Order: sequence, then structure tokens, then C-alpha cells
Amino acid sequence: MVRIFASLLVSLLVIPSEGVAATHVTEGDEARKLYAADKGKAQVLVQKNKVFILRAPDGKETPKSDTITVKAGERFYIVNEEDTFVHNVYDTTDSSWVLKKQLPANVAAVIFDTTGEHFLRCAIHPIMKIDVHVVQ
Amino acid sequence: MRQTLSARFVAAAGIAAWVIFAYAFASSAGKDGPAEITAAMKALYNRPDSIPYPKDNPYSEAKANLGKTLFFETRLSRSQVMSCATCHNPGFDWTDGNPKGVGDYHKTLPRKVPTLFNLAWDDLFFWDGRAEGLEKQGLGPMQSATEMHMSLDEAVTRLKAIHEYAPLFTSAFPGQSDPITPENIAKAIAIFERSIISGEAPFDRWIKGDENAISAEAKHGFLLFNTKARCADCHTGWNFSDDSFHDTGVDDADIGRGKFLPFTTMQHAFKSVGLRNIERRAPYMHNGSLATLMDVINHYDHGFVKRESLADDIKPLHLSEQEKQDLVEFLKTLTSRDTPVTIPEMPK
Repeated sequence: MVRIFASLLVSLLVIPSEGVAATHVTEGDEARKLYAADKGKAQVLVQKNKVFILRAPDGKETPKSDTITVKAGERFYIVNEEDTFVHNVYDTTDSSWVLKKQLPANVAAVIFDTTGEHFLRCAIHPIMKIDVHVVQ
Repeated sequence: MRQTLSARFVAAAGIAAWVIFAYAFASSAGKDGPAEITAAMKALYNRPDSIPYPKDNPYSEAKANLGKTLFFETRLSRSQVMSCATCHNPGFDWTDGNPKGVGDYHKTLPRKVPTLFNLAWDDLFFWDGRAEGLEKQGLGPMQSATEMHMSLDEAVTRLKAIHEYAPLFTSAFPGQSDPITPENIAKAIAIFERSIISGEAPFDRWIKGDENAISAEAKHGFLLFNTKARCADCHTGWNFSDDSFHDTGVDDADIGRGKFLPFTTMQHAFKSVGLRNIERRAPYMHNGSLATLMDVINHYDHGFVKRESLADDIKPLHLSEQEKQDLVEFLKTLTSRDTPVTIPEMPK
């Protein structure tokens, strides 16, 4: 009886319940390497002059972007291209992850596993905000 | 003889060079201000042409008038002696002149009362940014047990008992059968608050091209503000705020925005407030701990507390005493002399 209860408990802990988004975040040197390898293949959210700029894989930029659409499982990047400003992006809709303080030239790689809506914001500069639509 | 002539020539050339240099320096720091002040730098400070309103709470004169009346309404507090205007007193540039606010039954509040100037362009409100949107902000102090201490139900009951309020609400929210609601109280106050705009100051006249509007010292202060002192990194644009949140090293135990966002950067972080009429809004900082503008400049120059959460932008500035004075002179040019606000006749 105790064993059954224990295994039930374990299964509840290890099996993610449906609808809970899993987010994979990579930062630091590892993220920089991924970014270099993915150049021209992935979407980039560029932080510049305290706004988000959406840079498409082909390099085309949408200034002051407030929306990005990514596929579930697809990696995109958040890159600080400021001269001096520091940013700190977090997910207002999912408190399970937050980027570390992003100094100029810092790179973060993010993957959302499941479809859904996320609203990202810079904690330091809340005027920087962006809706992320994660689609199939 | 030849040597003497040569020496005279060198001396004359030296004097001429000095005169040219002195003239050039005088021109660069003359009434037009330092040459480093560019048109692009000044263009960042143009005033907006219109006030933005949210789609779900558009402007109407009836709403603005009702909002102003509610703003001055003392019966929206438990004690019936406090209104929004008690702390946000227009005569004190929409603050109260005290280091910290004074709440219900004269209890001292933990932070200084922020001004209401130019809130129409803001997103997050209070020193810690805990309210998103003016419509959400307005009802906070009303319900706070330490401030106006009034439940929303009781507020509605009181306003409904004052018969002259009914036509004001009907006019402001036409088509609604029961318009005296907390939501409409918040909407009307927010519309009024969006109309609180700091007027044209000497600085604005200079930006528009009147070179005599501010002194040469103030122009030098403006240059420092945008360069060496790095004030404009956060005090950006015509209202001198980018609505950002930073730990600026004020020495107290208040963790500010850190209460809501548990990140290192947000510990002791407070909103970068606008600087309009700042000379008239002493004392300064979220806890009112700095008495003068020079104290504030000394704080940013070298007086901040170093800790893990301190913003990366806060570094020793090594300003000279003259540079500090010039910064103060510049900040004084942001003061407008506005038409005094009239108090509305309160409904019976």
C-alpha cells in the first residue's frame, strides 16, 4: 500500500501535467556558441535603445516590435545590442524562468516546448514588452 | 637685429593664436551653449502634441470634471478629511512637501508622495510599480488601511447618498443604468489625472530655439546631464523619465520592486521618476532622505551604497564642484509657473 502510494506520488511529480509550458533557457558562452551556429537560421529579439527589434533569419528587422511568433520546440535568441544599457527579461505568464541580468553583448537562447502565449517584459525597463505566440 | 625681429614675430604669433583660441572657446561655450550640444540631442526633449488615452477609457469633458471632483472628495476616506488632493496637493506640485506621506489619522507612510505630473505617458505606477494602468492605481490608496482606508462598497454607498453625484456620473457614463461603480470612479479619476501636465518651462523655450531662455551654466549642465553625469540614461525625454526601475543605492531597508519581482536587479529598485518642477519637489528620493538637489547630485556622484543589486549604471562620476552647480542650474530650468488649480464645488 505504501509502495503504491509512493509510486503514485513519484508519477505525479515527474509527469508534467498537460498545459504547463516547459521552457529551455541557455545563457552565457553556451548561448553565444549556439547563436553563432544559428546565424541566419533563427529569429532574434534584439534589445537596442530600450526597445525590442525583431530580426528575422534573413536579417530583416521590425523596429519596436511587440509580437514574435515562434514554433514550439524552435530556438530563438534574445540579444543585448545596447552600448551601455543592461536588461533583465522575465516571463510575466510563467514564473518558472527568468534571464540573468543581460549586459551589453549578452546572448540568451530560449525554446518553448508547448504552444501558448507568453508575455515577456524587461524588469528594469518595463516599457520593453513583447507577446510571444508559440504555435505548432 | 634679425633675432629680435624673429622673437617679436613669434611673440606676436603666440598672442594671435591665444586670441583666436580664446575667441573659439568663448564661442563654443557662449550663449548658444557648448558646441557639443547637438540638434539631435535637443530633439529628444520636444514636448508631445497631445495626451494619450486608453481605448477603454476615452476622454470626455464630463468624465474629466467628475474625476476632478472625486479627486478632491474627502468623503472617499474613512475619516472624511482625506482626499487624493490631501497628499497630491496641486499647490505643492501634486505632492505634499513632506519627506514621507501622511496617511489615515496622521500615520507616517513609508515613502514620499510622488508627484502626479505627466502620468498619462506612464505604464506602471507607485514607487514600486505595483499597479499597471492609471485606472488600477487610483483605487489603491483609497482602499489602503494606512491611507484613505475606505472599502469600495462603502465608497459607492457614500457617493450614492450624495444626490448631486448621480447626474455627474450619468453625464460621464451615458447609457449606464447604475453608473456609480468602483470601476467608473477609477476611470473618472484617471481621466482627470491624465490632464495634470507640467507647463512650459524655460528649458522648453530653449529647446524651441530661444537661446536666452536659460543661462550658459544651465546649458553646460544640460550637456553634463546627457554625457558625463549620465542622468539621461534613465531620466530620458521631455518628462525626464523612462519609467525604469533601478537600485540607485539609497541607504534604507525598503526593497521596493523586489517585493513583487524577486530578481537581484529589482531588490531596492524604485521607479525613475520624471524631473519636471523638481526644484519645487524637495525633499528627494523614495524616502525623502535628500534635502536638496545638490544632495541628490552628490549621492549619484559618490554617495550611493554599494550592494549586489546596485544598478550597473551607478558609478562614481567624479564631477567637479562647478559641474555639480551647473547640473543644479540646469534642473532649475525645468520648473514651469502654471495657472493655479481651482477647487471644484463639492456635490451635496
